[in-house]
Amino acid sequence: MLLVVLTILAMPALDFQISNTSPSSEFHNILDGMMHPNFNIEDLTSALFTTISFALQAVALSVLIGFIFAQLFHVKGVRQIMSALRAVHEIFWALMFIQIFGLSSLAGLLALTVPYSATFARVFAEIQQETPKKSFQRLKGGFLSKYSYSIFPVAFPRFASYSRYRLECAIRSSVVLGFIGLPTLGFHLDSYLKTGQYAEVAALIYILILLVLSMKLWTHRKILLPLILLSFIASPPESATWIQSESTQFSQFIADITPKPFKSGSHIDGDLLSEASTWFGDIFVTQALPGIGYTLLLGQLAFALSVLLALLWFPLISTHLVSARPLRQLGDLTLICLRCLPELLLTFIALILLGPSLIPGILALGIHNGAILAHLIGQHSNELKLRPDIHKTVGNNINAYFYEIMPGIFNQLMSFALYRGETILRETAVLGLIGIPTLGFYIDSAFETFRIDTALVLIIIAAALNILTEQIATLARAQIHKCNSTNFKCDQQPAPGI
Amino acid sequence: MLDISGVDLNYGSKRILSDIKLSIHTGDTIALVGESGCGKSTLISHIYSLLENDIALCPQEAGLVEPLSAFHNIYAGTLNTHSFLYNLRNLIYPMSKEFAKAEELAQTLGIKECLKLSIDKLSGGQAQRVNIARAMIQNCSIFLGDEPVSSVDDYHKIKLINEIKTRFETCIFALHDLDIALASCDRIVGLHAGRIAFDCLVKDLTKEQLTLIYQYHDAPAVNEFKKIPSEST
Repeated sequence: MLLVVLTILAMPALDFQISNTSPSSEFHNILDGMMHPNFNIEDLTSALFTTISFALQAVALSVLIGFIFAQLFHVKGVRQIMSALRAVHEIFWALMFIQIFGLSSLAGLLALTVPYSATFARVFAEIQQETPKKSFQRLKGGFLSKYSYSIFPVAFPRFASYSRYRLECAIRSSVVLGFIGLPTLGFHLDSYLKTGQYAEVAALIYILILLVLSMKLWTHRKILLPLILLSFIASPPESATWIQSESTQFSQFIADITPKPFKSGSHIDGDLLSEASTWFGDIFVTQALPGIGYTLLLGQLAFALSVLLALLWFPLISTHLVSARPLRQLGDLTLICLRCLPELLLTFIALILLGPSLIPGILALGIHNGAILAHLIGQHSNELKLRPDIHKTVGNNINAYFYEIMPGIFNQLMSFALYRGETILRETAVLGLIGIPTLGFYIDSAFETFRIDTALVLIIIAAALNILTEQIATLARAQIHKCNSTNFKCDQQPAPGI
Repeated sequence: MLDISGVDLNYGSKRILSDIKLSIHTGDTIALVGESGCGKSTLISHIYSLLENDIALCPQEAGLVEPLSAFHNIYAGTLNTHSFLYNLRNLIYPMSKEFAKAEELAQTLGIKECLKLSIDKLSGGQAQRVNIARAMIQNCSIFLGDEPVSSVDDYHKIKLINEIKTRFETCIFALHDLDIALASCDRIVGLHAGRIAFDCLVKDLTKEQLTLIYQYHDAPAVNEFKKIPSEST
C-alpha cells in the first residue's frame, strides 16, 4: 500500500519528457547493429580475459576474507564495519583506488574485493546461523575440528551456490569497471556506444550473454580452481607502471581527501570551524541534497517498476501457468538475458534511445531487477501446492493467477523485492556516471575536477543513505515475516543476499 | 562406580523425576524401562553429565551430519583425540588407517557397504548403526544408549545389543522393548510416575510384573512394584 502511495507521489516530480528528436532512427541503427554484430574488435581477447580474471580473483579473495569475518560476525563492531564497506558501491571504491594505484589491475581487484568480502561475511554468517547446532554440540574436541565436522559440511553447499551467484554479479561489476577506464569489456562498450558503432556493441553484448549462460559449464569445481590459479599467475594484481611508490601516492591521496578548509595554508582567516561548516554546507545544499532527492526518486520508481514487471513476467517460468516445458525454458532464457546485462549498460542504451531524463534509468533498473525477481518468484510459485481440483474450479489461467498463485507468492515477492530494493538504491547512485543527476553524478564530477575531498564527503553520504535503506528494508521484512508466520502461510526464510 | 542419591531432575523448569536413587557398578548391563515421556532421556543426560569422559553416548537424536559419509560420522567420535590438521586431512581424504578402524566396526554392525555413502542416503536402521559405531570408536568403558536399536528389526536388535556388550564393560540402555530388556540385560530399572518404581535383577522379575510399568498411574500397579525385590537395598 505504502509502495503504491509513494510511487504515485513520486510520479509528478519526474521529468518525463523524451528529448531525443529522432528516437526511431537511432532505434533503427541499434536494431541493425543487433542483426549484424561485428566481432572484429581490437583487444577483444585481452578485454575478455581481464573481465573474467578481475571477477575470478575478486570472488576468490572475497570468499576467503568473507569467511574469516563471518566467524567474527557476532562482534558488533565487525558487523558495522562490514555494513559500511558494503554500502559503498564498487565503482566508488574503484574511483578511490584509482587515485592511489592508477588505472591498474590492483585498483580493479581491490574495488571488487572490498565490498564483496563484506557481503560474503554477512551472507556466510547468516547461512551458518541457520545451520542446526545439534551435531556441533554432540561432538567432543577443539572448536575447529568440531566446526569442520558439523557446521561446515552442512553449510558448504549453500556457501558454494551463493559464491557462484556472486561470481555472476562480479562479471557484471567487472564489465562496469570498464566504464571508468579499466581495460574490461565495459571500456570497449563505453567507447563504441559513444561513437554509435552498434555492430560492435551488439557483438560485446552477445559475448557477455554467452559468458553468463556458459557459467554452469566452467564453474565446476575441477575447472574453476585451476582457472583461478591461472588468472593469478597470468595477470597478477599490480599497480599502474607510472606509479613510482605506493606510499607517496597514498600520502598524496590522504592529502587530497583532507577537506579543503583543513588543508594547511588554505584558510584565509583563523576561523576554521565556520569555514569548514560553510564548505560542508555548500556541498550539502548544492550537491548532496539534489543528488539524494533524485537518487530516492529514481530508486523508488525503479523499485515499483521491477515489482510490476516481476508480476508480469514470472508466469513465463511457472509450471502452474505454462504447462509446455520448452515454452518455460524459452521464458527462462529471456529472463537470464535480461538480467545478465549490467544496469549501467542498459541505461546507456536507453539514454541513446530516449534522450536524457530519469526514464532510461528507471527502465534499465526496472527491467534488470524485474527479471531477477521474476526468476526467483517463478521458482517459488512452482513450489506452491495447489488443490488437485484447481483446474476444474478456476476455469482459466487468468483466474488461477489472480485467485491462487498471486496471493500465494505476494508476501515472498515483497520480501525478495526488499532485498533487491537495497541493491537498486546502490545502483541508482552509480547511474550518475552517465549523466543522470543522482549522487553518482556529483561524485564523478568531483573526481573529474580533482576535488577528491568533496567526492569523499559525497561517497560517505551515499553510503549512509544505503545503510539507512538497508535498515528500513530489514524492518519491513521483519514485518512481512511476522504477518506470514501468524497466517501460517509461508515459513520460508528468504534466501540471503539475493 | 556411580552413586546417585536422592536427586531431583528437571527438564527446563518442569520437574521430571524426583528423589532418584541409583547406583551403577562396573560390569552392569542395565535396562531403563518406562513409558515415553517418563524421564528416561532426562536420567540419561544426568548420568552422562556425571561421567562424561568415561561414557560413549549413543543419543536418540543422533545429530549425525547428513552431507558427510558414514565413515566421517563415525570418525567424528574421535575428533578430540587428534589435532585439527589431522582431522582436516581425514575430512578431505580419509587415511587408510582411520578408515580401517571404522570399517572393522562397520563390518560387525553390518553397515560395511554403506561406509562411503552420505547419511541422507541411509535408512533409519543404517543411520542408527552408524550412531552405535560412533559410540564404539570412542574407546570408553561405559556405553550409554537412548533407544539405540529402536529402528532395527527384532532379530538384529538382540545381535546389536550383544555386540555392544562385548565391547563395553558397562552398558546402560533405555529400551521400550521389554522382551529385549529381559533377554539381554542383567538388571532392570523401571521408571513410573516420576520416580524409580523398581530396580532389580532380571532373574527376580516376571514379564507380568514388568508390564505393569505401562499401567498409567494405577494405584494397584504401584503396590505391585513394592513386592519386587530391590537391587539397590
